[in-house]
Amino acid sequence: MSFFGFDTTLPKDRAPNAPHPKQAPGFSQQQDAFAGLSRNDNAEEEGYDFEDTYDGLGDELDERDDAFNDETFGGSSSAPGKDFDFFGSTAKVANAINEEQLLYARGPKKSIPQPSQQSPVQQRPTKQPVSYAAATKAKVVVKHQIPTEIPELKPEMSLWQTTSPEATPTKSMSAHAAVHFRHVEEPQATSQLISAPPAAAPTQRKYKSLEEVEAEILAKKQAKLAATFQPIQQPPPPQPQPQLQPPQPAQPQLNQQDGWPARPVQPFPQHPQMIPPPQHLQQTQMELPFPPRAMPPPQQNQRPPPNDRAPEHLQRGPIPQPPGQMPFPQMQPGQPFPTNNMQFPMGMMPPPPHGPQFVAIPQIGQQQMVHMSDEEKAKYLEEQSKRLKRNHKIAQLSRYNGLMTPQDKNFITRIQLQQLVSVNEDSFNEDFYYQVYMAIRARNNPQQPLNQFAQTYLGQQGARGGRARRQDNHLLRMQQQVQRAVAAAKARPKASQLVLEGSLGKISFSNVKTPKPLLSIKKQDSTGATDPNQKTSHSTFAGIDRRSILAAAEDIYRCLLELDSHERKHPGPNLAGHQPDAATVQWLETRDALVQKLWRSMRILEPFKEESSAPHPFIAILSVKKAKEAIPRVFRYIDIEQRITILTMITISLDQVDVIKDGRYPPDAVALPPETRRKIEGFSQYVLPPLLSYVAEAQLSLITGLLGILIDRVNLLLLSQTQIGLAFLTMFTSRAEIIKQAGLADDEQVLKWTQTYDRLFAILEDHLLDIFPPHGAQVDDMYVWQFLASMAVGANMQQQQKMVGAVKDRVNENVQASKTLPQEMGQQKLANTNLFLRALGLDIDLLLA
Amino acid sequence: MADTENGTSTVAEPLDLVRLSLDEVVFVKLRGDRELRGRLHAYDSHCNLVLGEVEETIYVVGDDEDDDDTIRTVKKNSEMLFVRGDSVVIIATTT
Amino acid sequence: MLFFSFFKTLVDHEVTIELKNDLSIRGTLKSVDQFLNIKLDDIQVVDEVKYPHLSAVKNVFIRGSVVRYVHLPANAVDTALLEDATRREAAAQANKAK
Repeated sequence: MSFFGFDTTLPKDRAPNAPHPKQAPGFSQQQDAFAGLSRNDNAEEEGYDFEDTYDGLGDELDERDDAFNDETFGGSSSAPGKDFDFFGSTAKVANAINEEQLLYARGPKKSIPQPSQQSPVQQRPTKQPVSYAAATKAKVVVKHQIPTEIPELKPEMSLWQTTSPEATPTKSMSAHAAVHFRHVEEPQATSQLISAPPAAAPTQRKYKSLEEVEAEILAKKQAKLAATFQPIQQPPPPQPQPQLQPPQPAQPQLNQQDGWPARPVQPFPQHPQMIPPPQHLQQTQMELPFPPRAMPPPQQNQRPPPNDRAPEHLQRGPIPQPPGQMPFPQMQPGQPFPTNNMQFPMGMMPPPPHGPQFVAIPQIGQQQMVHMSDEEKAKYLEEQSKRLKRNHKIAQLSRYNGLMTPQDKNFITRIQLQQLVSVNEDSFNEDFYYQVYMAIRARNNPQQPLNQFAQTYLGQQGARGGRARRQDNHLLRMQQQVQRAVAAAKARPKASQLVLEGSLGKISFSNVKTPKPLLSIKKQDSTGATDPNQKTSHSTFAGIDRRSILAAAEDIYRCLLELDSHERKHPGPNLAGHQPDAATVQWLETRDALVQKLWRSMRILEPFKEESSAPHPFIAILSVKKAKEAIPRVFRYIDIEQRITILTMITISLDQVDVIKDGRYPPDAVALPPETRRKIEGFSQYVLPPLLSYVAEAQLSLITGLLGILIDRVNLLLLSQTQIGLAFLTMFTSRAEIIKQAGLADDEQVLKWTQTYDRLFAILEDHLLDIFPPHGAQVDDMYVWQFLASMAVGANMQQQQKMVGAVKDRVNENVQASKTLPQEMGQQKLANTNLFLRALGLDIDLLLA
Repeated sequence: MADTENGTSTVAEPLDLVRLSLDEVVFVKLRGDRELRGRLHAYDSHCNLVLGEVEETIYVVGDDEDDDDTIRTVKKNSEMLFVRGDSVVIIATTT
Repeated sequence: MLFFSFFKTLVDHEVTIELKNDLSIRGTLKSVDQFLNIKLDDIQVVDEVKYPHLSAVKNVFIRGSVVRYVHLPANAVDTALLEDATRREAAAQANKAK
């Protein structure tokens, strides 16, 4: 027997046309996609082919044990029925399939695939209605309960008769006459449809239907919608339809889910009677997708009761549209899918929402058209179709019109703007590195304004990589717009509560940035002004604990960053001129407060702790790399007084500054530890320049004072043996010399300076050789020669002679060494030495000569 | 500890400790027997890091032919290194 | 977002990405996203002999989570600025927590 529902009967035993489909609906489904068409023409050929090609191997099978097949596969007696629910799963996605089919149908109309299941049915009616019916009955009868649907098929009959009188009535009658008229009709109808096309002249039908349709429409004025299209569209559709119809009729019933049925409907739009029955049919069909339809209808029809359930299930599927619209019972399946209808003249109707718009215009046109000439008609129709198209488009677009009230839209807009604002506000912080990095790089070429990072950010989008400029323009504009919006939002007073007049309570707002607080917990005001407790904590600053030092350094940076941020908020140049506006005043006040904070964070004013050997907090902080790096940035904000304070503080504690404390070469060592070298480098790179730039403008009295401090309080010998120490001395002496030579100081000041200088010289004169780095040290000793030169310039004759005597050996050494060194390094060494000699009024060339 | 007016130097959460080590040399222990030593230039809440002048030490066990017990160390250097946070086990300051 | 911001400045620079499976890929950083997923162009596997299967690949998309290191060109990094950005980020985080 058949295991999968295949028809196992040998070809010869088969009824000539009996197809396998009944038993294997699932399989046939796919196969028959195009079978419907072919079968109409080639049904015979197929059967023939099989016989021809059959090699008879099947006959040689050993069937001895087939007796057990029943045990293995289940009773053989029962027909392999419709138990297989191949279709069941398909039905679940029936909608999707329908849609796909619709899509497909729109495209190539001619190649409309016909479900295999149906195809068999179609064939039978045409060729061997009787035999087929009988065969099907035998197998299917018991299981399928489709009858309920059938009774309602009556209308179809009438349709068929009217439209295609020839084939339908007779055949249908003959085939099923004996059993049941109505119930049978469904199958008949299908069969008729199928048979009709080949037998009857499809073309005739088409015309008829068209004319009829038009006539009806005009007469009734019903077809307002269709009317417009019908003239234009109908002509084409009718032709294809007739051809298609034959297969379609069968399909629709079977494939209602597929959406195919819709097509057949068109030809028979005029028959209103049909409408009611279709619904029932659909329902029933849905339930028993394949078997019922494909199976012999007569018997099925007889069992109406089982269908009760069916209808309910069916309804889930495509929901039958209002009966009124469905002329043909088969149509119903298609109707659920408005798209289908679109194809046909009537199709325009489907989009229900737009209906009214479309209808109005076309109606008028229809009536007028009757009296128009062909040309006018064509023209009018063209216009009309254009209008309809437009209407349709509008309707599509406006489908969701009115879903939101203006208030809703407002609300959404506000939310979006709010987020945009917050996003925009945060973007600088969020993307700080990128924005600033690019700004710095960009500033290298164009004339980017300094410190205008906010502007830079907004302008950056456009300016970034000139190529992207044009595309970014709208972005830029958008951002500017947002910027304005943000400004407006900020300008608005930020009330967190609203008291409406007459209301009993307050309404509190919340937004993304400041959610409505559910709990109000008072945080200790961490940004408040200094309080006594904190002062004490200041004084307890140990200055030794490394973590404290690092924390202090981070504080400096925090203040710096706050200042930087504040700097960006500068209200901009005061165009009014003299009177600074309120914003500027406030900005300046805030700035001052921040600078004060920064200043305090430097801890430079904390008192010395005489009793402890620990360095001053500021000096301790300065030992950290990042603190050194912060000095230039701090100098940008602090005023002259504060700069002097810093310079003084460093000078007083110079021998405690790490770069000097650790800066002396250890005995027998020719190199400083790498860590120290890095520190010295950092100090000369970050700390010295701002100090130097200040000293370069300082008065002689200040220089004298500072040098005096050094002499009195600092270990000068230690100082002189370090690079940074010498740098300080050089800084002072050279500045003093410049002032003296420029005549910028009065005699008294010069005298004081000279005295201080003499003291310095006295201390150092016996240790001049010690200031050099150890022999063999691979370092640039330029700083030593610079110092010697600056000393020499200010020295009197006697002092100069002492200096020459002290370093004479070193000079010669250098001259000799330069000869053995590579050209470049040798020149460098000579140049360094020459610095000193020139200061004495000599020149290295004399020695070389 | 030194509290400034704004009290920011108080270490409120673990990552604040890391912040103190910005621009300082830190020791980082990673999954997979790796250690890094380098200057901390950036971190975020995921412990993603950027380190400069990094020396990486990888401990490889028994990679040599015979003895499985020996631990070999492989050292690598990188001038600038981004470290993905999900590998980070420990970030420690060095003194 | 700090590192997203950071990596954006490195676009078009040559970087070497070391994955957690020890594979190292050198290439030109083409793009990066907020998850630090990375696109590399003109890639080259560092130890090509050991990982020959990538020798025909010209560009890759690397999921951020599989990255262990990204070796960067030091001269393309502004360390002072980066530290500032880090401090800002930390401050922003602290503010959010409050």
